[in-house]
Amino acid sequence: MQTNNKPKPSKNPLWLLFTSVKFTVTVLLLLAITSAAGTIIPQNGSPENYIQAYGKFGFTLIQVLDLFNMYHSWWFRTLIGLLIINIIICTIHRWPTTWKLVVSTGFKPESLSRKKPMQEFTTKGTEGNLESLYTSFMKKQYQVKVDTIKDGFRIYGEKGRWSRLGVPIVHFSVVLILAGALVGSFFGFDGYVNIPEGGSADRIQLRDSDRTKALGFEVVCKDFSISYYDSGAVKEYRSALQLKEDGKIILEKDIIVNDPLRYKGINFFQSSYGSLPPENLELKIMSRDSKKIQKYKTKIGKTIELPGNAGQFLIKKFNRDFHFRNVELGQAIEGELFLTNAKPVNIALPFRFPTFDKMRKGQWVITIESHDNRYYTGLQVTRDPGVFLVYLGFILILTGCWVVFFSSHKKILVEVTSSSKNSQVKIFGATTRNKMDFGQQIEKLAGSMKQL
Amino acid sequence: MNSSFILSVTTFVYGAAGFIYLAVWIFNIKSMERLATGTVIIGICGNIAGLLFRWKESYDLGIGHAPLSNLYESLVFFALVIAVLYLVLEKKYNLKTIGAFALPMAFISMAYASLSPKIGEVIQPLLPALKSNWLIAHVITCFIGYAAFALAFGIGLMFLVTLSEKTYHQGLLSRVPEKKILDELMHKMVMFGFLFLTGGIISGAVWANSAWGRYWGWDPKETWSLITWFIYATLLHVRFMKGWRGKRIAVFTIIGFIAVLFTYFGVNYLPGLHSYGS
Ligand code: HEM
Repeated sequence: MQTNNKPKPSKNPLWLLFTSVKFTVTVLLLLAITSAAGTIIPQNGSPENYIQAYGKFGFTLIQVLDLFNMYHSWWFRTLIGLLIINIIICTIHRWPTTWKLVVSTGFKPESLSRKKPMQEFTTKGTEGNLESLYTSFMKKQYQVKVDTIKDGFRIYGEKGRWSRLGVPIVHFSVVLILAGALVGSFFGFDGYVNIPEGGSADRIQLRDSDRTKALGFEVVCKDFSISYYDSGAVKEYRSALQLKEDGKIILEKDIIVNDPLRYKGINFFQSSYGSLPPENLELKIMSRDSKKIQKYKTKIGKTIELPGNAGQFLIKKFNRDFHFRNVELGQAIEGELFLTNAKPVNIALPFRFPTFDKMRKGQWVITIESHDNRYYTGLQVTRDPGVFLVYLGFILILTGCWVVFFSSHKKILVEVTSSSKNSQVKIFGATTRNKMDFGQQIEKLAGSMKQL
Repeated sequence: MNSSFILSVTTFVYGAAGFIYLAVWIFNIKSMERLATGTVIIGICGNIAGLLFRWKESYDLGIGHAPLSNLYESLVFFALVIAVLYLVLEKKYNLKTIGAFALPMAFISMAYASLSPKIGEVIQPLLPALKSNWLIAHVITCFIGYAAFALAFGIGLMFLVTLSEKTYHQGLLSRVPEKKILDELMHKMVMFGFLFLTGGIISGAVWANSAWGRYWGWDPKETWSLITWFIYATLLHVRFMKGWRGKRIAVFTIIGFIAVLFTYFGVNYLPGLHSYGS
């Protein structure tokens, strides 16, 4: 590895700081440690929880240092900023040297022949025929230049000069990704909206803020459905969406998790769902004495007249999350039964347990015969104009890492000196990376040259 | 024949391979070298067959998906990559002793997968969020990366255990590859791992973006993979720029691998707000 291609040190102390790898290592490790801290101190909790866990003093400290939202705190952003400045300055600083190494055709055989040869052998051939033989052989793999020396010749070969661009590409991509993140945080948004089946929305609620945002078009949820595996686990959440602009349908698509709808840079992701009060209900009321049953088609908010003027049943409301003696029973209808000459009774009719009301042991048993299932779909709505930069950065960083790890700048010098009987061949080489593999390659090269 | 059976047999084949490598190293039984390599190859075949069977079984159950969707399957895949990467190193550099450190890791991974009561071996249907080709890319890249780091760790451990200055070139230790070779191999594995970890983080980010509309959310798992990435980036810089070699890099590979393990398992034990909020 050549050491004579380091850029000149500068005198400016700040420049010196930002070009030093010591600084890089410090910042990288600080980022690692603080990021770890953020996974141990829970983020975005409520103040009461922090006080309970860390005490008053701890809470004050956490508040001052933004530890409850540390990945967005001023000091964490400063660390990332320092890393970026570090990378940029470093790259600018080294760029002229790197670029010169990439474009220069400066064959410098001397720098190689000063070292110990990597392979050496003698062969019977003579200078004349070896030169053309070896040159054409080397040309298959390397960019070569031949030159004569006393009693012989030497072939200088080089390849992979462009691989020196790998490191700047990796560094540039890190900057690009963070630039993309910055663009996203300034010009993008992140929100959500719940739309009932059959309903529509043209505004969304922004996350981390109490503002709403107009979309500029209308989103209609035509249908929401859940399908299940035989085991009962959820297989798919699906929302049939329709976009309307000025009342005209412009786009229709079913979205599922992992397959969002995108329009004008705005993305709609399936993220949650919930149930809505049923529109139509069918109740069954049975008299315990006569075992007579009467059915009613009704709606929430209505009152039912019991048979024989015995009283009335008022269907008060829908409860999404009904609890009975601390047991969660899920969705239920709640109502109140007014019987003549008796106190009103509260009645609950959980969907999952249709015969729940039998337990009350009342004169009238009310059960749900049927109800419709209505859902709302919960959509995550985002716009992130920075994603393009981030993804470009992703592609570049992978390319850069690939180049850095799997290719190298290789130089090789084959020096042949002939006497009357035979020729002495020496092979010198240098590479920027993977010295062991390079050693094996030179060994193979020497082996094939001997066969020529 | 079912996948479970094949994979349990594979576990023991890896264990046996580890033993044979240890024997080759400790007692210098040259004649068993080929047996050791053969055992690894059988283990790899069993491992691949097990995964393929499992894939087919998931289709027979009507919930077909690639066998890369839960902890059990990822551990089995992890073991496979360790064994394959090791075999490539062995062939390419004609080394045997490293197997004594590599194969036990493949064995532990498989044994943990099948023995830990917490890990479901049952093939389960995929949750909606997991139905994505990015998930497959994510698991494959991450675990290739982790396996490379595991090997770097194994080699680092070997370096620290055997090559402390004074004892070098005595008996057992004379059969360990030279310091320089171990150092290069460690570095190679770290570089390879870094490339794939980068790919893993990226495919995870792209997946998250297609499922939830955000490519980064600082959740503990994401954060720990980034921490791991920072640690290995630091290693590459001190090696390349500060010229650190050998022992210090070996220590670094161990720290790095601890971060890998934490990303993999430890994250589940971190406190969430709910763990003391209630
Ligand atoms: C997250 C941040 C960074 C990442 C992921 C990263 C990644 C890398 C990688 C993969 C290499 C190649 C290492 C090798 O050849 O073994 C490298 C080399 C290097 N990095 Fe970074 N780096 C980062 C930040 C920085 C910063 C801030 C600096 C500024 C001082 C820097 C300076 C260098 C230098 C000077 C080299 C060697 C270049 C050469 O001559 O080949 N890196 N970096």
